Amino acid sequence: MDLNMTKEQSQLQTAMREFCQKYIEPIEPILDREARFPYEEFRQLAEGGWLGLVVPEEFGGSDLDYLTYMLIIEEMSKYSASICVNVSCHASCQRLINLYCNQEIKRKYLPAMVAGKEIGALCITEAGAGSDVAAMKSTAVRDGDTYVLNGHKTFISNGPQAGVLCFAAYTDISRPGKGISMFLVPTELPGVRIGELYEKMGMRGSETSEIILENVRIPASYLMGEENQGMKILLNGLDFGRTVVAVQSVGIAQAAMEEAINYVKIRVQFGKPIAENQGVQWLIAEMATEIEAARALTWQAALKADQGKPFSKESSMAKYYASSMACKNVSRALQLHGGTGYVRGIKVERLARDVRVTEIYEGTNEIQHMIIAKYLLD
Amino acid sequence: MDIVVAMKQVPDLQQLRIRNREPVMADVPLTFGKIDKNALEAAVLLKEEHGGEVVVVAAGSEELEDTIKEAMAAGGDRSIMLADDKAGDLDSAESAEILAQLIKQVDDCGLIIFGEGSGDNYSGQVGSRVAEKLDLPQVGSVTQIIIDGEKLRLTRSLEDSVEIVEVMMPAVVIVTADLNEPRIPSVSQVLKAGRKPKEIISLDELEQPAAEKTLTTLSNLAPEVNRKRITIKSVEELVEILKTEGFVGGN
Repeated sequence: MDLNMTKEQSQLQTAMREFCQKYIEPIEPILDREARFPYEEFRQLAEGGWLGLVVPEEFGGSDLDYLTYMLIIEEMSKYSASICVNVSCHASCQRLINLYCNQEIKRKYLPAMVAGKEIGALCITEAGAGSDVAAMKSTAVRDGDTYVLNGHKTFISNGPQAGVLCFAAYTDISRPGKGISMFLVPTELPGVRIGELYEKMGMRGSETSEIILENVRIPASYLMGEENQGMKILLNGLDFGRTVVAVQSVGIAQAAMEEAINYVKIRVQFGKPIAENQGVQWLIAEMATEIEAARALTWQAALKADQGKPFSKESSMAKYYASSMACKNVSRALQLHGGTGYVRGIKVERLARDVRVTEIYEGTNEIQHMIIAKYLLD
Repeated sequence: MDIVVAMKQVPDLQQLRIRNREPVMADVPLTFGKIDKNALEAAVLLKEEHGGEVVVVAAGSEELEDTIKEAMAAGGDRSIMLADDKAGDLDSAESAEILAQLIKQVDDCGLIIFGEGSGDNYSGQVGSRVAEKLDLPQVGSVTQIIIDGEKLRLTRSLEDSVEIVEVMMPAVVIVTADLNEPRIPSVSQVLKAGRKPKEIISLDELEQPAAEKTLTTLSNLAPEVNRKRITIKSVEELVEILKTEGFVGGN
């Protein structure tokens, strides 16, 4: 496994860093305070080509391999985990549209999404269907050349902004789990509405809401893949999504460690910087080592994906380990800041709120344990 | 008319650590100096207004073949470089001799832009030396470049004044960091950079051998910082100490 980045990869990472330092870093505390979507920064990301990373060139994207996409996402997460949520959910929709929609739909939506004119949202979770996806109640009923969709989705990232939804619904309710299908739903259609907007503890630069569909009629051609293939599409999407959460966690942890290192060098107690205390040094050493370990797991999952090999186990391992590691080490970084770290406006305080959800979304870590154990024990 | 930009490959100073006052070079990636990036941006802006090509010339170790992609992503159209591991540590005289020979290969060269100092040793000599070798007029401390027909109108920011001068092309222009903010390359610019035309030569292929090294670096140490480690408990105490040290309260 080659752990050296190519020049293009390091250049893309540097360009993302410079972009974030110029446009994202100044706005992130404001987004966090005001809990709002970064429209202007999303437009700037589109101008730089950062919204077309996984889209084929024929639709205006750059068609990057998955590892390179991960390197960029890690860098973005260091500066704004919430903008990373916006971008990666958008990219997940693009990826599914490219894999499972017909050419006409791809031509209609993918270039617009690369340009940031249409924003994508994945609609899977429902009030009674979180980890237990098969318990969803949303339905799609065939009616001639159309489907009629009904459903009430919760915790939808990009929900309030979305122009297109990748929406999961039962086409055959008699087959739990196996009768689910995926649909592309333009939000301009009658019957699509935004429900409650959630007030979250972290990731506040990413808006999350309910999405409600009431008798929404879409052309049959907006079915993604084949009827009743939805669970397969979802699981494939989740493998990628979990690797994204893993690398996002690595980015957050890295940012927290860098904050901690800067702080312990200048914080003087008992006449010397606290960095000179062995207890502090050991903490920093452990943080750095655990971050590297999580990064290696993430790269392993991404490399297997690029090789076209199954990587469910690897993506679950990376997601579980990296998010747990990040929660632990952001907490350590906050502890090293003492009382200062508990104050609003200090970066590590925001990171401590942002990081918590990494153990929850895209499949809780408890679910990841079940997936990993199943591979080992079955 | 083409615009030439001379750039120097240097260690990425943002990633450089200092141990025992000496730079730790292990694992430090190579990049171009900050003012060199300003010089390139100036060239790209002029090209966007007047046409032509931006040709990047550089000399350095064999890693330059990779590093040059940064300049291509930032708007360079093609490159001519001497990439040779024997050229990893050139002094100003050697650099000037090599760069002058590389620049001679550009047929329709109207303007040659240098940053006023490299990112590592900042000798500030190479632009002037190249101008002499090519027998071209040179203008330094430039903060604005305007192409006006066959002439250049250049703004020079000096300590107590701003001077505007005119010079016939071709000319060597040495710019400061104040003249622009380099662009952040887009994803597609980064991906296309490696496919842009490049010409690579080694030291043995030079028409004339590089000048003899005239300078030997004896030591390169970070300045010593004496921390006083004074602990204060109030703003009044801080002000008192700053007064004692002569930082505030003087006339």
